[in-house]
Amino acid sequence: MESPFLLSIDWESPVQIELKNISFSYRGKDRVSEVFRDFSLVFASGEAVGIMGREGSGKSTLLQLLAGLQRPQQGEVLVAEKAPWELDRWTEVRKNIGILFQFPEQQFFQETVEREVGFSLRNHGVSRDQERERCWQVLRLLGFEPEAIVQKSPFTLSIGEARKVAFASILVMNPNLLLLDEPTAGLDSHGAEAMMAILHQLRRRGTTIITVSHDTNLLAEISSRIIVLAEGATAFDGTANTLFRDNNLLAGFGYDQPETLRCANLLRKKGKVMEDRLYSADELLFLTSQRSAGKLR
Amino acid sequence: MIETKDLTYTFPLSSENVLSGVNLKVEEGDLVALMGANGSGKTTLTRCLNGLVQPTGGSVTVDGHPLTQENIRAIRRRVGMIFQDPNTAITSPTVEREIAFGLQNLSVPRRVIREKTNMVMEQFHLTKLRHVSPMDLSGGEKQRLAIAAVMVLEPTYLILDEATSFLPSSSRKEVMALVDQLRLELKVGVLLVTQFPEEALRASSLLILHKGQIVQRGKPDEVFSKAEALEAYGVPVPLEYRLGIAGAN
Ligand SMILES: Nc1ncnc2c1ncn2[C@@H]1O[C@H](COP(=O)(O)OP(=O)(O)OP(=O)(O)O)[C@@H](O)[C@H]1O
Ligand SMILES: Nc1ncnc2c1ncn2[C@@H]1O[C@H](COP(=O)(O)OP(=O)(O)OP(=O)(O)O)[C@@H](O)[C@H]1O
Ligand SMILES: [Mg+2]
Ligand SMILES: [Mg+2]
Repeated sequence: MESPFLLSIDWESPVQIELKNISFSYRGKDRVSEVFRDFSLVFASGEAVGIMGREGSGKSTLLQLLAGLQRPQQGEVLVAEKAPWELDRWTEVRKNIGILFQFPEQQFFQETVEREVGFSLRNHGVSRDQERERCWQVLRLLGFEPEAIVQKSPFTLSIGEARKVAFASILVMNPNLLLLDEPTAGLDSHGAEAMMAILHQLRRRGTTIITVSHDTNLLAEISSRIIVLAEGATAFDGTANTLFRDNNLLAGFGYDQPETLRCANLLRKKGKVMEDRLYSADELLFLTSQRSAGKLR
Repeated sequence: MIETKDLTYTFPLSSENVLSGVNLKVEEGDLVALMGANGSGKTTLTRCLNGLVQPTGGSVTVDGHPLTQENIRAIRRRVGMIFQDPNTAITSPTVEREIAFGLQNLSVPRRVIREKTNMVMEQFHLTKLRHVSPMDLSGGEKQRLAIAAVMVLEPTYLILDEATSFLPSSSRKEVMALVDQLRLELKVGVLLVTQFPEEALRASSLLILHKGQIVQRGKPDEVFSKAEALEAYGVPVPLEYRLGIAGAN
């Protein structure tokens, strides 16, 4: 896929992200629920990080803190050396930070898909023609036939379609920090593959990508670092290669072995020569096709 | 048995059929899986099965009864539906009351309500959250609640529309085990809409929906063996089948 990013919105300086000794609780009328206590984390600029952890471990809350949608009661959040809530939400944040929510269909507010996807571009004074071109391009990247969908109301979309449209509305802005909450949940195989290809490309361009997901196939492909949250603390911080090959560790966090490992083991049992490492699904498919063509043993 | 015959649906003001000629059967004690691309019509189909959507053609019957105005309430009692968006189902101020709500509507005695609610909260790891507002739960917690609140009613049929999409694999397995328990002990018939092929593998039959039509049906093992055809429909296939090593253990 050749770079489809026609509009070059200025690239700001690299974004390093820091959470410094933060404490955060949700405070209701008669209930306080603590999510983080004295929690610290640093993400380097251009890093692609996967966040895993059981239900309620604080993953979505972490993304909201990074986007400045929640403020910690103690400690500091710094995105490119600024507190994210100091940025004016509808201009700066929308321009630099792209956040895909866990329930993206709740964020829609425009009457057509095209207006929804192009909303931020219009806000930044992009011409009508450019807006349209850019929207169509991004929708195509995600596997849509734009002519069939741009005039639809975003509220009539199926849930998988809604997730992709919400992602498109972020991508059009070319953000340099992406915060993604379960981007492949409910996507069909074409959608998941398109998402993966786009994230690969953005990663090569140096976009900082923080992805909350239970999808080990996705995370193995797109992240250089995995963090597992448990009870408001970091239970693991290391590479996908270390985590996904350690069955006991994974099981303790509530995850099965990724299917690529399961299949690599099956191939090994069948006498195939396999290296002791994490293969991608594409690599395994390639290897088996080579073998059946008699090129390898 | 839930049965559809030549079910067709077209949205108002639209010329395209979202569903066309769908024939489907879910018998008591059965697990039927339904897969298909985003927008292929899976949710619309499930909505036809409990009368939320009025088919524009064909018929739906539940244990032989058509979905008419008179018997819609009785049918909704028999067909428990877990929606794809767990937010739509929330009606109560606390987790505990959300689970008890359906039982209260059925005039179940208080003591039984308390027993069943407690048991289900344990099974779904919601006991600690019992006094929390469902709106304040995390995405995965909301999904567990949505499933618990329907399963506690022990309906004759259960429809799960991608009800576990935000759960880690161990929780998804727990949910499937609880569904199996209802199926085996109470002969509940289950229709499972999913993007997780390993869940579909447990079904007695797998249907593939493509642009509103059933294009493949059969035992999951047979259907997944046509890996290339399924990939063209956007259906995720277990890697074993894509590699041609399924069944090798
Ligand atoms: N009110 C409506 N008017 C027109 N089209 C609609 C309306 N509601 C839904 N649709 C369209 O009908 C198609 C089927 O939607 P449905 O929700 O049944 O898909 P689905 O298979 O469940 O998809 P997903 O996997 O994303 O959940 C989609 O393309 C959707 O955009
Ligand atoms: N608005 C809120 N008010 C009160 N408590 C909340 C609120 N949102 C989340 N919580 C609680 O905070 C904790 C962390 O929630 P969060 O949504 O960050 O979890 P998560 O890791 O994203 O989980 P999931 O994988 O289920 O989406 C949970 O125990 C949740 O119940
Ligand atoms: Mg979450
Ligand atoms: Mg659906």
